[in-house]
Amino acid sequence: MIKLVISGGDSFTFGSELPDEHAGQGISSKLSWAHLVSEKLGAKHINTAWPGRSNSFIVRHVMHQVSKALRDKFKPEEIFVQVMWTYLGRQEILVNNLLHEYDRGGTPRQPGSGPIYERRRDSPWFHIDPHVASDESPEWEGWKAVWKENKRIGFVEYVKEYYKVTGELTDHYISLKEILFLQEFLENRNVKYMFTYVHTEIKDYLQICNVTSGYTSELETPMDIVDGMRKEIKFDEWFNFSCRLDNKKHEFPRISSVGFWNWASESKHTGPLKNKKYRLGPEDHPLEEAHQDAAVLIYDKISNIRR
Amino acid sequence: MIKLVISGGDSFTFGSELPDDDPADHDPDGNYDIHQSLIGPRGRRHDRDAVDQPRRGSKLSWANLVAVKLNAKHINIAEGGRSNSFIVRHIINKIYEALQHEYKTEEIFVQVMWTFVTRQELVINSDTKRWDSPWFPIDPYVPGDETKSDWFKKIPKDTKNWQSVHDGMYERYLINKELGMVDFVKEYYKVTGSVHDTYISLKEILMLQDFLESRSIKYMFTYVNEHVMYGLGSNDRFTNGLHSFIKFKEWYIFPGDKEFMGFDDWARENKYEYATSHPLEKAHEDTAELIYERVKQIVK
Repeated sequence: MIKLVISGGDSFTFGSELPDEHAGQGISSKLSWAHLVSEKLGAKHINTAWPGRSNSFIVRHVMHQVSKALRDKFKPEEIFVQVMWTYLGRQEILVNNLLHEYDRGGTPRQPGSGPIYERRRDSPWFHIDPHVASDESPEWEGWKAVWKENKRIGFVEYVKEYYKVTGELTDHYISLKEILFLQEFLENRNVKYMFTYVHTEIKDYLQICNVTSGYTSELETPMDIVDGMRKEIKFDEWFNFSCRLDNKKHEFPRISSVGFWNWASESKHTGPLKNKKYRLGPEDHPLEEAHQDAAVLIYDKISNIRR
Repeated sequence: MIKLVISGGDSFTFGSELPDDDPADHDPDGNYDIHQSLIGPRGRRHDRDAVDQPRRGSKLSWANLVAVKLNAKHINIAEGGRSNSFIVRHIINKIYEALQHEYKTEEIFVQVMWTFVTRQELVINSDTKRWDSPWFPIDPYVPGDETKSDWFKKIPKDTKNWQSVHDGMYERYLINKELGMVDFVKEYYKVTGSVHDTYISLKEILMLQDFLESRSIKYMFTYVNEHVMYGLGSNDRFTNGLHSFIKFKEWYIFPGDKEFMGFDDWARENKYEYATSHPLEKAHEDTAELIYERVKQIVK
């Protein structure tokens, strides 16, 4: 029997734009698909998702919570992990400062941590983002202080150099490795899990990307290594949302596997709200109905995994 | 029965400075894969671009001697100066190739001598002009021109190979600069620190441990030097979690009084003969004996 659900993801799992989320205070939504699934399972829920963060962030936090749960005497068979993987371009790095006490305790924010750190749930973990590399201070007052601090600490220069030398293979390799790492970690400890993804391009890209251009030595090494890792990931077991592809060449509509966002924003999805688009928020996040229906679909999948 | 041994490590597993460690000993056919690949000849290098060539590990290394004792084919993926990330990446790849070639998991044995956590690597978006491109090894020497370093200035110019070593280091520096890695690595060391290094290595080690265990592949882990173990120590909440899952108690520890005794510590303490910085044949032979005793228990 599942007693604890640990969820990982980005804003789509956090429940951004749902009425009860408070990102500023680190409070994820109880209306998110992740929380609704845990309710259906009748289990305690730990939602480690955080808007805008990377697959490395997801793995780090999910592993930490699994580790904590096992220490707290949960049995592996009582834990269920569900992850909605995010975009590959997001990265993070552990930096040698900003090690504030509020991070050590695992709470998102504590009084006195100051405005600069309010947005940083994990202070020593720096989210690498192209915006950081900007030479100009942002216009919005709230970000000015963050930018100044980044500049003072050296992150602006670091991120600039990072984007000069890295590329899509970097992003691709890092995410594949994170996913394989979590898969192996959970399987080796007999913790049941369900993996899905925000956007169709995430899974497509993980499975088929072939980055060979720019490597003049014609070595097969990059894709050999990536292929080896990719083939160890059990993509066939991932949960896919689905949409109907109407194609005049075919007598019957075909079903295409898509991510949560595509499913929610397409009119030809296969969700209970058939042929109607789900409502999206101003920042393009699916709202309550989509989360509710996604939870129904995912719960069905989970019922099979649990057997 | 073990039919294939895959070894991972750094120069101590490669067998640097052993008599058959010849810098010119790259694959004579020009195939990129020095590691006695199971697949055989593949893409050829553009030699005009190649600054270095992949090299075979020494047959006198402890790793190869253990494989000989097991009477198994040996793939030594070790390379001097590379990181724990390098080790895990190549071992997983070789296991994948082995399984493709119909080796069964129970026929494979993996042995790893973990290296220093300060060594890192990064996949970059251009050709590094190294056999392992586009993975770029990151270490504190990258930002500088080593021909101007204090240690190199002390070496008399009439020393054998002085000119070729000088030219090689300078060429490497120029390539690194052109790749943008000199500037990147400078900034990298400004913002990262020891907790970062620890986290990366713990994660790599746990990943390989889980990868091997979930496939029932037998393995033996050990380490070069006590500093490897100090580097893997942890007092951060995320590193603590990773640390707790790694089965350190099952690692091979060399005999001695210290809490952590790696190959290098043991060889120095027992006064084995060294070249400039690596133990020579006798230390490798005796290490192979010691490790083989442990390996026999693991694979029985």
